Amino acid sequence: MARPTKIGVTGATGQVGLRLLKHLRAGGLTAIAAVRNPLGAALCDAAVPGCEIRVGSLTPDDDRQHVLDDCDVIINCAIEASGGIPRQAYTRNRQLLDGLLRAKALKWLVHFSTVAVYGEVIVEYDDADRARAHPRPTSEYGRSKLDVERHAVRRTRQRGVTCTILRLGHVYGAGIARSREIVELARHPAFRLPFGGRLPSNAVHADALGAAMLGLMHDGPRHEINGVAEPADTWRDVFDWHTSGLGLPAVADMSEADSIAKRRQLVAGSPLGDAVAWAKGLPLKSLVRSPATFDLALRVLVRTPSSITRRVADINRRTGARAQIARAHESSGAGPLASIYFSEGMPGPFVDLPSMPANGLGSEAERVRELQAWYDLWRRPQMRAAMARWA
Amino acid sequence: MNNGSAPTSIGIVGAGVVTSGAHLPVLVNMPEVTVDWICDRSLGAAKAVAKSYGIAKTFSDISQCPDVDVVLVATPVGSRSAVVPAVLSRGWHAFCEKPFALTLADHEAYVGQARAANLQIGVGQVRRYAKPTASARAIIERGFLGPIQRVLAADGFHMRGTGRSGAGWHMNDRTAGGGVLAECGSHLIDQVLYLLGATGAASASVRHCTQRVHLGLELASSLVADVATTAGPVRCSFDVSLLDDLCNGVFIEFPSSVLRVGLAFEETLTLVTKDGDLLTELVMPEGAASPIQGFYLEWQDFLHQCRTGEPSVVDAATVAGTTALIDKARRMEQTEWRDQRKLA
Repeated sequence: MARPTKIGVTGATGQVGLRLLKHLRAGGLTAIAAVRNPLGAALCDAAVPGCEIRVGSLTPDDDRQHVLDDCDVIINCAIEASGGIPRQAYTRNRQLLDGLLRAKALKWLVHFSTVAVYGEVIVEYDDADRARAHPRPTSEYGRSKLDVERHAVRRTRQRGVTCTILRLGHVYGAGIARSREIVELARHPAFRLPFGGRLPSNAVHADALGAAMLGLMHDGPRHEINGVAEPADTWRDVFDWHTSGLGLPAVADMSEADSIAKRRQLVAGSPLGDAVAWAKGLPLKSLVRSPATFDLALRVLVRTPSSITRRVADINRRTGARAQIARAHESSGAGPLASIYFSEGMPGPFVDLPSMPANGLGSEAERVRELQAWYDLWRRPQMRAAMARWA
Repeated sequence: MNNGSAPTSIGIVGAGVVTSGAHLPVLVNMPEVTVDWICDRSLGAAKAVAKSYGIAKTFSDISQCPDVDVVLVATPVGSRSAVVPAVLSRGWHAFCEKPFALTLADHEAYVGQARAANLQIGVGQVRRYAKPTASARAIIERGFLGPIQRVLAADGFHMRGTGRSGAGWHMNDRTAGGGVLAECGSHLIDQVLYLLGATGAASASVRHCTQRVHLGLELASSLVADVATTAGPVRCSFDVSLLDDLCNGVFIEFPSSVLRVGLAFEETLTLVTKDGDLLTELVMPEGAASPIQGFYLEWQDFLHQCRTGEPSVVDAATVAGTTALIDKARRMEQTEWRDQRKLA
């Protein structure tokens, strides 16, 4: 495939899109940010000064020109929100794909999907090819993303456009929500890293992703469906990168037994199990304590033989403390952990991740410097205007 | 307005998100009021909201609306000079969404017109009712923690998605009158001035202001002001941003402690170190625990003000300090990154 001449990037204000634009431009490629409205344009201009920005609909009416008509490659980082109506996660994103395929010069569509198509907790598999070809999402998010990537493959074939699906792992780095979660977990004194962090992270630094995309644009597609992650990295690597960069102590390990138990809970989740847990959590005491019910209960109890009442009281003593003990455990913990920390690695093949440059954009020193600056903004209050630190 | 048992009739101007998502869920559940009509320049938008809430009448022109007791003005602040005087001239009490006015002159004109006509006018500064704010105000008033030395307030997040449509205050700053200082800053500045009991128009002076403006839209503002309190002036800093995640909250520094007041209803009231690390969480006996509770309480207060004439927490006169500070900041802004390019 010939080297791209113009690359349109959708979702350009998002955490992936913005980083991608920086890397494509730094790599000498012509990248065009497509945004929906003036606010998106302003945000994009603030983050990537000098970038060409176009404002318009990605799904224009039939008689209207497409905002990316002259782009031979489109990288689709956009995601349409469901707007509170789950079905729209499917319909709106399919429409978005169909809209992109109306760009006249388009020859190659790169579509960002997600590791979530493999399920919230990836379990071990023997056949990577089969796991990749027939993923089994366990969330509505994963199901809708899988549906849309299949729609993209079908429609691009019909139009004769090359399609590359990228199942994106957990992106981290300065300014990215996943890193905020990791740093906050690391700062929580009760946090313990499941399995000591030895599980594959399925994570990728935003700059590694940007460099990988630049490489992909130069080398062309090799596979239709690819994973995007640093496949050798574990969660321990990712947490240690954050804590060492910010001068925080390394996070402690969760015990093997606790890790296995929590993972089992996540994998074995079912509507029936949820219903039982919900029923157990019902505030029955508040019902019993309501005056009318309490009076009724007393009426029943005074007519109940003492032997039965005593047995019920014994059972109540034995089991009554369970809920309180569970709550005490919750209050001393770091809250429920996301399932991603209990997951196995996603199947390849993976997009090649070039080695880091020695300096400048994407270098280790720059990644750490950006992480520190970002952390400094939100970790403690400060008088920013007086410090005039925006220049 | 009736003082008896008949329900208070309410009209609504503006069929946007705050009307459908915050005010109407409360108003249709208050037995002492009836919502008679909704008016929006987009009749389709008015009809859609009216259908959801069972409101009988819709209009696209305020001059066609029948008489009511009170009107909710929920149009963008930039369009308000055409709405508020019209509402008051019909003899209706007015309850306006924040930000109340673009300038102090506008603010005082609206309040003056209402006073002259013996009408009440209020502003939906709903954050005043939030548990962290209401409880912190009670603590500060009692002086438990000593004199206030400094206040650092921030409300910033890196905005990553801008939604499907081109609508909304931030899409057109000329008609909306917005920008991040008006939209987010009007909450944050009002929260601080309310906490300090410094709500008068002359209560604060701006020392320094910077803004980041890209393609004509103000995306971040940062200002330092001296706020006059009964115990003397207090240096306050305010940061609002759509570009950066900030250390959000109102941090009130006392001689030996820092009180962190959460911004939202569900947030906490805590004592923290000067680095923002948690020391202890305080009980919040005052205020509303959710936005819906907050909107309910502000409506209750304003309707009481309309019935009795007694100023309430949301009386527009008590928001003059907020309007004045934003107005002053805009006039003296020293934009560090101003880009005058406009989009083609």
